[in-house]
Amino acid sequence: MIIDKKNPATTPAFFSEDYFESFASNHSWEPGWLADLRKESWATLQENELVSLKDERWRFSPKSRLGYSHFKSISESSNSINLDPASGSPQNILNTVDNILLDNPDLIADFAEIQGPNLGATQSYHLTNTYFTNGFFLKVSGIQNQKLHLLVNHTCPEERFVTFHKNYVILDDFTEVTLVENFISENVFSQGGLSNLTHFKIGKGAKLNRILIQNMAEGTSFHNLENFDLHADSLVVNVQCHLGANQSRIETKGNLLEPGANFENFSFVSGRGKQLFDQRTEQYHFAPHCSSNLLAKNVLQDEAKSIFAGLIKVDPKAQQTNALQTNRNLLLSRDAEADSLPGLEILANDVSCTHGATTSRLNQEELFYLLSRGIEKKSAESLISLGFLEEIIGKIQDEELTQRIREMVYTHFK
Amino acid sequence: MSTLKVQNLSVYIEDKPILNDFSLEIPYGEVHAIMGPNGSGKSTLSKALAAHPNYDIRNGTAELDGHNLIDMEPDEISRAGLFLAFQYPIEVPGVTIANFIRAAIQARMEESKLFKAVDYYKKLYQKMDDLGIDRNFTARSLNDGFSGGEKKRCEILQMAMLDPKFCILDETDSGLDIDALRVVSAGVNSMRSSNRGFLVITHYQRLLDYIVPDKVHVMWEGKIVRSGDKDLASELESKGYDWIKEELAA
Ligand SMILES: Nc1ncnc2c1ncn2[C@@H]1O[C@H](COP(=O)(O)OP(=O)(O)OP(=O)(O)O)[C@@H](O)[C@H]1O
Ligand SMILES: [Mg+2]
Repeated sequence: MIIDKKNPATTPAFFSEDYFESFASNHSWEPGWLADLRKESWATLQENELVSLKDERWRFSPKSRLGYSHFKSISESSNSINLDPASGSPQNILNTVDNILLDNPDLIADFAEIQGPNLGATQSYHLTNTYFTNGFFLKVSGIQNQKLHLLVNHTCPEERFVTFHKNYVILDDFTEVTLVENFISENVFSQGGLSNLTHFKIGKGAKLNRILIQNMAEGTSFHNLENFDLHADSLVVNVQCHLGANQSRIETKGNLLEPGANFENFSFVSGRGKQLFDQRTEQYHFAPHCSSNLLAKNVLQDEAKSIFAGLIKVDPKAQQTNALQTNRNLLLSRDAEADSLPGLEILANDVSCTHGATTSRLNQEELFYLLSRGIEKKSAESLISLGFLEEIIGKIQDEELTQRIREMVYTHFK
Repeated sequence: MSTLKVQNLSVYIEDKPILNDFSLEIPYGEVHAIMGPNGSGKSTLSKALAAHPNYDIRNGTAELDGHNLIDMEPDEISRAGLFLAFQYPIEVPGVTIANFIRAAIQARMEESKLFKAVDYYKKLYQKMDDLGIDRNFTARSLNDGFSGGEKKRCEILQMAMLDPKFCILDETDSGLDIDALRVVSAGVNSMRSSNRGFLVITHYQRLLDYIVPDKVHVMWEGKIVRSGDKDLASELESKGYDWIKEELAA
């Protein structure tokens, strides 16, 4: 069992065998394969206790901040997911995982085998698989006449409760959808946690436009693990905006499984106070003629810290791969810190892969220029930072949403 | 009458003296021009007055309308009414002209007042039209990829929008094409008034044919070495600086 050895008194109940057993019995209405999955995950959690502390996948990360020992218990509120518009039409299904498990569990059964992202956060991963009690399920089947635009809100619980969400997104061949996910808190004083695991299956020629906005209360913890399976000629444009939570572990993996797939992964962090953002990504090229592009930009003030570790992986048969990976950090204060670990693992010979990382401080000439127009220092810094992040925000093709995000970043500086 | 009043100013860059016991007084309502060879300290004067952190003011005073500029931060100086159109405007990627000028205007507004976007854009477009700047520029990043002349026009646009009490134009004419020179000069002339002062730094008499100065000063090694009326500019244009050098040596 994983416990806080220094302070065993605070070990939350959900790490005990008793708790798991009563949880399992409360969930005995669920399909057998799910009960098995929960049991296996629970068993793996126990084994993982012995994993060595020196783990490259946690390099630079103050791992203790990303554990679970400070939580009191699990919150199982069904209000933690909010869908707009919820739909049960055969064209597209958007519903809570609970409802799908009740009405049509076979839809989810296909996912039982899927693993990942597995970029190091094994505890979050297995805890989420063990204890998820909510989540959303989206399946887009029909070709839409008009653009399909869906919204999912995830709410982090209050006090020191943690909620586990597991989500499933299926785009059938040649479908297209824009999915906006907001991560918010019940109130600004929340010290809760949200662990979120999502599997995306993107069918042949399908297009997913996904925007994630995390603006949870500053006392909270956020674990977000996501795995994209891209089939032939599909396109994923994933834009992640991270502003909230005291500590986050973010794992994003794109698997380019069949020729012609294209994975575009953009993200920004706007960090302040003592916020920690630990981001791990992988662009895994299995098939030839695929492309992937990643751009991660982080702005950090006060004592905020970010870690970016990205890997481009190319299998021997994935010839004609085109892969890019860039991490740019802007530090606004002496005590802010950004660590960057770009990586390549290329086993094919006919590929074009580049990666790069830069960390810079605020350009004093730019700052002076803004000051010389009467703009106060704080506003000037936020304008320059917003300008720096514009490259990411500009990827969102929704003027109303981009305006909202700009406002959010701007107020993050006040 | 209030003035821009600089007395005995000494400015150093990395321990090297650039301005040396520099004095100059410009009453409101007047336009003064400074001419002088490359490296004589003209931009140093303008940036030091705007409190650029690299310019170390070791002696002297500078006052604008009763404000002691020496003790003020760059943003305070701007809000007190000093505007500097830079010789080399900085590129700021991702910050649009519209948002930039808006932030500068909002910084001057009382907390209680509401920013009116409609009025703002009306004024902005009007000034852009006057200066021959395409309206699409509002959405472009500040000076990012602008041509030399476009940058200079953008400086004058900011000046027109911010309505300063005192303007320093540092070689605004260089980089402007013949038509733009006329348009920009007209923009400046339309702002001339009895309660606003200008300091125009230039190398060429041509600009001073459009913006006719009340006085012309010659700067040499960090000091004003000669002052006169606008005919001094013509004299410099035809004779160059050598004669001044000879006179100074004599
Ligand atoms: N950052 C700096 N470091 C060192 N020396 C500097 C720096 N900036 C300016 N100088 C020097 O200060 C002197 C005055 O420069 P300044 O830019 O004020 O001249 P200027 O009169 O504006 O010239 P120009 O007509 O070419 O614009 C020059 O010798 C220049 O090399
Ligand atoms: Mg100069």
